[in-house]
Amino acid sequence: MPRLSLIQEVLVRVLEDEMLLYRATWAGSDPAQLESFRSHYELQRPPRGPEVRAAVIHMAVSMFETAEPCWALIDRTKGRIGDHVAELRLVPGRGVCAAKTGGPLHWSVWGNPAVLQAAVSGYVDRWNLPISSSRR
Amino acid sequence: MTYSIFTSTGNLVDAFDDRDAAVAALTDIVRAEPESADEVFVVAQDDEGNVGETIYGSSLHVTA
Repeated sequence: MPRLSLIQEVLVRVLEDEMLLYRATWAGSDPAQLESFRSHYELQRPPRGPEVRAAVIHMAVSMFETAEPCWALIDRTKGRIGDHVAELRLVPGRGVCAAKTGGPLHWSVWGNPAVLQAAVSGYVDRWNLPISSSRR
Repeated sequence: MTYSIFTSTGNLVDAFDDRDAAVAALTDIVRAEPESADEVFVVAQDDEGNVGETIYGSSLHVTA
């Protein structure tokens, strides 16, 4: 019996309104931060398993509606995906598109990595409180 | 519950509402690309998005 992925249809939105999303990343001073806004495709990783079926996922960057799942992923990967949670204010007119995909709170985002990085409006701690600039 | 496959990039690979299906998909990835075992994993999320069980590819017993 075939496994039924939740990703059967991807409704991509061209942003018409500002959108606030969160992403596990590195400090703004770390060159690795830009890399964290790249998709598997941009990182030149071959499509894995289901990504072969859905290039749209291979070419997307994952973000969440809240910071909590980002912190959970940071903890479960022992910091391999970053040590900061960035708040991104994605605005229309910069080529960014987004689609609700996968599990609760998860969004797939498409955009120029530099544009995504420039959308970082701040960082939040584990209690969803803003981190002051001196701690970034 | 939702069971999502992520990699250590933080990007999604696939998602299922069935644990066995997600683990089977993870197993297929590791079987095809054994070196990925340490960087692909399944995370369970409840309907509110709270993250629970995590299964790394390296924890699976995969035979060629």
